[in-house]
Order: sequence, then C-alpha cells, then structure tokens
Amino acid sequence: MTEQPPPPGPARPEAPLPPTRPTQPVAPAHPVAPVQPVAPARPVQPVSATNNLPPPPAAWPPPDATVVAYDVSLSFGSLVAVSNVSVAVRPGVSALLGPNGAGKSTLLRMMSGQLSPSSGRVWVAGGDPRQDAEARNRIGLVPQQDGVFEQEKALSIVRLAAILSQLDNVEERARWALNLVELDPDIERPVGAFSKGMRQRVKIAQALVHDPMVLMMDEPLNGLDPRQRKQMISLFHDLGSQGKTVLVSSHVLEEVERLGSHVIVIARGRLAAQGDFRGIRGLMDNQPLRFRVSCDNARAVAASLIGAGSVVGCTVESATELQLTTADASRFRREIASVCKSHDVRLVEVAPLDEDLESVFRYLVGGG
Amino acid sequence: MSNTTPSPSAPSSNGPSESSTSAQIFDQGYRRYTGPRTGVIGAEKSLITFSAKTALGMGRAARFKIVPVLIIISAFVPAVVFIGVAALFGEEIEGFGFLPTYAGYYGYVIAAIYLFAGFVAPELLSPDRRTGMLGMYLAAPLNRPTYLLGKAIAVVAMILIVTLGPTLLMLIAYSLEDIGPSGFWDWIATLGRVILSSLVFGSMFAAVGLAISATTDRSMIATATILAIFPASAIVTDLLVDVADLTPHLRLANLPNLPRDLVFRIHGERGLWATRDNPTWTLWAAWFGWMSISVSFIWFKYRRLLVRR
Amino acid sequence: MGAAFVVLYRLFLRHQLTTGRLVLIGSLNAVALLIGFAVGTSDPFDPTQAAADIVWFYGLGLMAPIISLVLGSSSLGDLQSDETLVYLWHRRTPRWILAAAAWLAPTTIAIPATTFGLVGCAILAGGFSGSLFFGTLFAVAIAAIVYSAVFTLLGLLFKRALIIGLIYLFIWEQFVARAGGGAARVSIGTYPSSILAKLADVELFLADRSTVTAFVVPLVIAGLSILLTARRLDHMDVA
Repeated sequence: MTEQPPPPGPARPEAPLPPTRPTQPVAPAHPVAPVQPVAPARPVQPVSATNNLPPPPAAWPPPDATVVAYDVSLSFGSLVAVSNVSVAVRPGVSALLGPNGAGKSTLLRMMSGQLSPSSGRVWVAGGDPRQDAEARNRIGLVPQQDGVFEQEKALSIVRLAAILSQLDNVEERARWALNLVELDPDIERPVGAFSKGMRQRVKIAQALVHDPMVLMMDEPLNGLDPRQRKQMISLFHDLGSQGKTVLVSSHVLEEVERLGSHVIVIARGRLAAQGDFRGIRGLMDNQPLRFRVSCDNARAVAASLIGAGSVVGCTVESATELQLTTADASRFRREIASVCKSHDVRLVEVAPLDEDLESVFRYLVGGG
Repeated sequence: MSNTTPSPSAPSSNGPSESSTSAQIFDQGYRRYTGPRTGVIGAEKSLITFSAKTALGMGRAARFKIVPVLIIISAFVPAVVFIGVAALFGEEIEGFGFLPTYAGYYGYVIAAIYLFAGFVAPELLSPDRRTGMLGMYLAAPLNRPTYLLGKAIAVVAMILIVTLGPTLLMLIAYSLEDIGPSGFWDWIATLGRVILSSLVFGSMFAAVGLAISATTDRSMIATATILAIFPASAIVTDLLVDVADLTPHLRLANLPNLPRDLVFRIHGERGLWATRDNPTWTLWAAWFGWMSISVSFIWFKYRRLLVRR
Repeated sequence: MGAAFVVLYRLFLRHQLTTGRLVLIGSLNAVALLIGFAVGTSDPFDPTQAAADIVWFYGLGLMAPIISLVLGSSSLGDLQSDETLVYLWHRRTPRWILAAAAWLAPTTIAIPATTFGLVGCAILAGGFSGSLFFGTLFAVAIAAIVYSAVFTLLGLLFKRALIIGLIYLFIWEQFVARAGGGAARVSIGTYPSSILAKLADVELFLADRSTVTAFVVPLVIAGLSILLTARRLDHMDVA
C-alpha cells in the first residue's frame, strides 16, 4: 500500500501539545485475522463498482491497519446503502471518496460505531466501536451534520467532550484543541452565532481534544474558506505524519487530491478501489491510457507506433503533437523510445492525459 | 443550442427537418399550457381533493395511512357492534337503553374525533407555510380566502367521516331492522338532525384545530396544542364550576363538551348533566362565538402572513 | 464519572429552558393561581378538600404530566432530532450516566415548576395546611420523577413522542383510567394521587393505594425506564 507523502515542517508553535496526554494503548485493529488468505498481496485493489468484491488478499488486513471493516453491508429497508465492503485503513491520511449517495457516510458511520452493520464486522484499534467504549474513545469523530450545541460556547463544547472522554486536564486540553484549529477559546458568542467554517472547526476541535488514535471526519472541509481548508489539510497531514489514522470522507476531488494520494473509492454502496490513485489507474486494464506526445515529426511517429501494435488509437493534432491511446502503457513507453530513435525524431514530451484523480474517479464511478 | 425562437410552424417531432433555416429547436422544454382552464372552482376542487388525500395518507408511504385508518376504524367499531346487536335482538332490546341514541353515540367516539381533528387540521395547514407551497397555491387562481375555504372544507369533510359516517350508518341499519324512525317524514327529520349534529361537531373541532394550526409552521406543535387544549379546557372549566362554584356558563368554554351537548339538544334530549343548567340558546351562542373567534383568528393570521413566491 | 454526570446534567438543564417551554410553564402556573383565587373567593365548605381537588384534578392530572412530558420527551429526543446526540453518545461515558442525567434534568425543573403554582393555588383557595403542602410536594415529586423517566424514554424511542405522550395522558390517564378501578391499576396517575390523599388526609377518586405502594411502584417504574433508556442508547444507531 502506498502512503501519501507526509508534509514536512515543525509542530505548530501556537498549539503545542499539553504536558499530559491521555493514554493511547496501541493495539492492532483486529484481534483475530478476519479473513482467510486466498490471493497474493497486491499494493492496490481495484474492483469494479458493479461486481462483487473479490476475496481479500493473503496479507489482508495489513498488520498495522488501525481500522478494519470486513464484509460490511447495511440496508435501509429495500435500499442497500453499503454492500459487502471490506476495507483496511492504515496510519496516515486516507480519503474516502465517492459521489453523493454512494454510501461514504454510511460506511464511515459503521466504522465509527454509529451504525450497526446488517452483516460483517468492524474493528477500530483492537475493538468493536459499538461494543467497546475504549475502542470508541480511540476515535475522534467529526460528523457530517452541521448541528452542534447551538447555545453553548466553543470552549464549553470542547470541554464537554474532554470531560466525557474522562481526561484530567480538561481546560488545558480544550484550549489546546481550539488553538489547533485556530479558533480563539475565549470567544464569548454561542456557537449558534458562528459562521459555518467556525462551527466546522469547533467540530474538529472536539474530535481532537482527547488526542485520538483514529480521526474519522465526514466532509470536514465543508464551509471552510480556501485559507482554512489549506490550514486544515496541513493539520491532517501533521496528524497523519504523527502516526495517527486520519480518514476523511469527501466528494470534492480537489480536496481529496490535496489530502494525499491514498483513496478508498466507494460507488453505489460498493468498494470500487483502494490505494494510491495512480496505482489504481495503472491497474485499469479495461480503460486505455491516453498520452500526449510532443516531438518534431508527429506523423512519422504515429505511423510507426500504430504498426508496432501497442497503440490502439492515434490523433495527429499538429506537425509536432499527437494524442495516443494505448492498452499497455509500459510497452508503449518502451516502443516510443525505439521508434523515435529509429526515425531520428527528437522526443520532447510524453505526458499522460488521464492519470489524474478525476480520470480515475470518472472511470470508477461514472462508467468511463 | 441556438437561442433562436422557434416559428409556430416548427416541426413537433424530434430530429432534423427539411427546413432550410440554420438553427432549429426540436424540444423547447417549457411549453405554454393549452388545455382547459377550470378557474377558481377547478383549483378549489383540486385543493380539497389533494388535501383530503393528504389527510388520509393516500399517495404517501404506508406509515402515513396508519393513524387515519386506525382512527376511522375506532370511530366505526362501536356503531358496527351496536348494529350487530340490533340485528341479532332487534326490537327485543329497543326499550332497554342498551343501544345508544344518535346523540349519545358521540360519547363513544369523542376520543376518535378529538384525535382526528388533532392530526388532520395541522397536517393540512402548517406544512404549506413551512414548505412554501402556500406561495404556489396563491400564485393563481386561488387567493387567501378561497385557499382557506378549500382547506376548511377539506378538514370538515375529513372530520365528517368520523362524526357523520357512523351515525348515518346506524340510522340506515336501525331503519332496516325496524328500530329506526317511524314514517318517512320522521326519518327525514332524523336524517337532518344527524347531519346537522355532525356538522356542528365537525365544524367546531375543525375551526379550533385550524386556528391553532395557523399559529405555527410546525404541524407537530400544532397537533400537541390541539390535543392538549381540548381536555385542558374541560379540566379547568369543570374545576371552576364544580370546585370554585362559579357560574355554570363557564362550561361554555368546555371545548369538547359544548358541541357534544348541542348535539343532545338538536336531537331533543336533555344533554350532559354538567351543562344542563345552560339554556339551549346559550349553547348556540357559545358555539357561534367559538366559531367566529376561530375563523377571525385564522383570517387575521393569514391576512398578515408574508407569502414568498 | 461524577464530572461527566454533572456536565451532562447541566447541559440538559440549559437545553430545556427554551422560551416556549417557559411560557407554557408560566401559563399553567397562572391558570393554577387563577383557579385557586376563584375557589378562594367562592368560600368553599371544606377549603382543604377543595384545594386538594384542584391539586389532584389540575395539578396531578394536567400540570405535572404535561410539564414532565414537554421536558422529558425533549431531553434526549431533541438531541436526537437535531443530531447532536452523537457528540455525547460517541464518548466513553457509560450510557446509564447519560440516561440518568437526561432524566434528572426535566425532573429538577418539573418539581418546582409544578409545586409553585399548586402551593400558591392552595394558599389562594384558603385550604393551605402543612399536610396539604407535604402531600402536594411528595405527590408532585413522585409524578415528576416517574413521568419524566417514562417520557425521556419515549423521546428516545419516537420522533413524535410529544403527540404519543399526550394521547397516552388524555386518552388513557384522563379518559379510560379515571372511568374505573381496573384501568386505574395500570395508570401512573393513581400513585401520586394516593400519596396526596394519604399525606393530606383527603378523599380523592380512585386514590386508594397504600402509602408504601404509592411511593415504591412509581420509583420502580422510573428506575426501569432509566435502565431501558440506557439500554436503548447502547443498542441504537446514531446519525
């Protein structure tokens, strides 16, 4: 599994960790390996959104996974919201991605213990968050809904969270958490009078106050302005680099791209793919890759490449530029070098056109 | 897509035409309505029908049908039992007082009527304001008085299901069993009294229910207030008359018992013991008073209401 | 644990004191005082019995249950409907603490909010006595304890708990249970009424439970309701 690069940088000077921290017993996500080894381990597991999930690989779940959902399904009456999803989340920042109504929030709620799956099981840091209060306490939860305790002050809400998590230095922890999200703990206004962005930061602060091992956030960047988004994303990366598991649900691709490359894609209630999105794209054998090639004799290169066999489609855009479609990217990369050399053509650039997250997402959930 | 306005002779079928013009619109999307226009009466009929269906949960999920169906069943069950007894024993039990009179029957179903009024009136009035549907209704051709009239007719019609339905059923069944009114004109007079009684009962509950519903956009709050205000008025007036020994006229503020007693008077019976001290004209005056207050209040609220379209 | 209970209790307490509810409590108290004044001016034959009748019929029949219903059903019900319950539910605090705090807050408001008007009513009615005061106080306290517990559970179970509670109160407690002894046995209202009758030494309709039974049964019902609330919290899905 490929992790996103942890952002470098010192800890925030304005929000140092308080001297005493709640104990964080480190435990594997799953007390008993929940699946039988049936297939070789792979770095990524792309799955068709419309087909059943194939059996998990042998090394599944990874030993360092902190959140494991195994074969979970949930139906609301006749509506199947989540169907047979198995997913393991490791420390670092992961994005739960999917279109509206895909089942992201339902899956996140099952993983946080809010909803009981109709079938399957969930482990978070060694326990079932529905049964085990300690496992639940290792989660910091930012729910999707806008509502917070409207008549309370921000500090009161975070203090309440700290007390309910049975922390000792409540006041200090609450102020620390609010400082972390750049919110003044001494604001006298009740949260009901806050802007949406400020309320969102209160929600994040209450989730962080007990310094949880796992942070689960459902659309946490909603309502934040661009500067706040940047700052929050940086905070999530900081937490991820500290070894915490940060799981962020979102349907906004730009947000997810900035959060990191590790994604869990949910479509129509099923797990569509998990892993580094560039790796997922590479495994999409049924989706030809498109490249833009810049060289000083586009027509000659196009003719030779089509003859060579790796290219299935070609458009000559100009004398120096062409667009190619290939089903075998590595073979294409090898062939283009030899074709250019044999024709004595100067190759300027080979740029992939659909290896970005948007293309991956479109192929996975939009049918291509 | 071109923004060219289509000519009246533009082809109606999809696909390219033989026309030599450079741009054409094959599906304009919005089309002007060219069907018959039924005016206020048509709109009123639609409003009443739609409101009645809403109240009965028709066209909605099964859970919306549970409450109205249960209430209607509970209003008819005693009537069916009495009709069954009458069919089995007929004239043998007629003089024993086992079968209730038409006025006395309301004592068996007052809870159903009270619940029906509590659920129907708020359901028909409050959501229109909360969801903005009121603005749609008032766009044309309805105005505030015709909208309110349509809603009032719908509420009264719904309450008549539980007030008129069972008593009418009893009248017909008793007549078939030869224990009903004797002679044609007597039968017609009884029918008139049955209809008048149910109208008096239904319109009072509907008017008070609609007046309370006019105060809030949240139907649950309106339902709770209606469900609380009827028994609360009975408790307070009973205390003031029975314990504080104040004038029996205070019982005219007893919302559930006032129409009940009027029904006894309509059928020429003595009425409830608690209100026997009040002459019939005072009951009618109080009934008109409550109706006037309720209607005036509804109009006052709706006249001032800011409607967004 | 103690700190969690206190902070939750204070949160529920603040959450419940909305303007609408204060107006309702004020109105019910004003009507109680009005009735007391009316009775006082009518010079009743037995002022203590008259005052007890008001406390029983109005106070225990309407005021205490309505105030407990409005506050109790909103205690957890409002948090569930505005989706803020998850912030309390997702923490490691035991469920019974959450349930107990959610019950205690409406109870604490309901007892003085009901007693004030009824004691004032009894004074105005001219029937105030030490025994009636204690009878009223204990009857109201027991009514508030048991109704608040039942309605807190109801608020968690049903979205329309207020409506269901009103139907229960007015159809069952007021209509059916006051019609005869059989139904009265399974009515909550007879127990506070019996406490009032015994402690104030007055005659009240269907208030014939022994003092011990009148205290113990409502407390058992309240305890069971709190346990069921905690159990429901443990097993429910929270959005």
